[in-house]
Amino acid sequence: MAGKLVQVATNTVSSAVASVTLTGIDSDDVYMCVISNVGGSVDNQAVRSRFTVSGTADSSSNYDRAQKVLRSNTTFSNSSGTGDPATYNFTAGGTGTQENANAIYFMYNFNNASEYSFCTWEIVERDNNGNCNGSQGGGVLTVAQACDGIQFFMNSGNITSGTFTLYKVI
Amino acid sequence: MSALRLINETTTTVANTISITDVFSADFDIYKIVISGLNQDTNVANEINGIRLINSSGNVITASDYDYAVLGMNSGSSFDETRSTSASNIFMGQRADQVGDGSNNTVFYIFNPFDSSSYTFTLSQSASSDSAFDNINAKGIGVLHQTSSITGFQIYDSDSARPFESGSKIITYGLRVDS
Repeated sequence: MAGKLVQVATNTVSSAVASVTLTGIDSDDVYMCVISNVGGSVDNQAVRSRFTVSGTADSSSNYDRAQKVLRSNTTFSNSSGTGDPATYNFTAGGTGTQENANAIYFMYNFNNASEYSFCTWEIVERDNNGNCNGSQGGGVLTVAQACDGIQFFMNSGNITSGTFTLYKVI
Repeated sequence: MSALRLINETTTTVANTISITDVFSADFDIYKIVISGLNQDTNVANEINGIRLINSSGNVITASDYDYAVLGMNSGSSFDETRSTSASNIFMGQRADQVGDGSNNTVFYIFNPFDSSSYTFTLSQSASSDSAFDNINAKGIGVLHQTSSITGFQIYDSDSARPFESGSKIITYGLRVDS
C-alpha cells in the first residue's frame, strides 16, 4: 500500500564503534534516514557521512555540499565544498552533557546506477560549547553509480551513542 | 503498517493557546507534527510566538530554557536571522492572519521528548502568509535544555487579543523504530 514509511535498517549504539552503516537501498524510491542522540568519544569533532556501494563506504573525493548553518548564539554561516572525501554537514560536537546531534536525511537516486546520489539534511545539535546549532542543506556524490546505504563516523574517534534508522518512503 | 504512526489529530477551537497533551510516550523517540491552515481569529497580521513544551506533570514549561535559531526567507524583503539562547519558547518563524488573508503551515520534528535523561530538540520548516508580509518561509532549530520528560506541546501567542481561529488541523505522528 502506498503512502507509508517502511523501516529498512536500524542500529542503536550501546558501546563505542568506529562507524555505523545502514544498507538495504534496493529500489528507486526516496529513502529517509533519521538519527538521534549521536555522541562521540573525542571532544570538538563532527559527524561525517559517506554513501555505500555494495555495503562499502565510498571514500573518493567526490562529495559536494552546500548548507546554511543556523546558530542560536551567533550569526549564521554558509558552508560549502566540492570534491570532499565525505559529507561535512554537522558542526563539531562534544563529549559534554547533552552535546548530541539529531538529523533527518532524505536520499534520492541512490539505487540508480546512471545517476549521482543526492541527499538533503536537516540537523539540530549542541556543539562542544553547548550551543544549539544545525545545518540545513544538501549534498551529492558525483559518481554515476548505484549506492545501497549510508555510513556515519566521527571525524576523529568513535561514535559512543545514537540511534540510526533507514526508511523507504513509498 | 507504516513506521509513521498517527497518534493524534486535533482540530482547533478559538483560543490563545493550543495545547496538544499526552502525545509523547516511551513508544517513540521521534515525532512529526504537521500544522495546516493555522489562522488568527481576528483581522491581524501576526507573528506567532511559537511552541512551548508540556512536561509529564501537565505543566507548560515557561522557564527561559529554550534555545532557537530561525532563518526567515521572505518573498518581499530580505532574509533574516532570529536566535536566542534563553527564551521562554521555541520560535519557528510562523506568521498568520484571518481566514482569507493568510495562514501558517508548519512541519516540525521533536527528538527525545519523553526521555527524562535527554534534552528535547526540534527541527522545523514553515510556510506563512499574511496581509503585512506576503509569503514568509522559515527553517528552524530548537532545544529545551532541561532533562524533563515531555508529553505534549503548546502553540501559543502571548497577545490575548489575537486568538487562533477554529478549524486548523494539528496532526501528531510517531516515528517507529523496531530494533
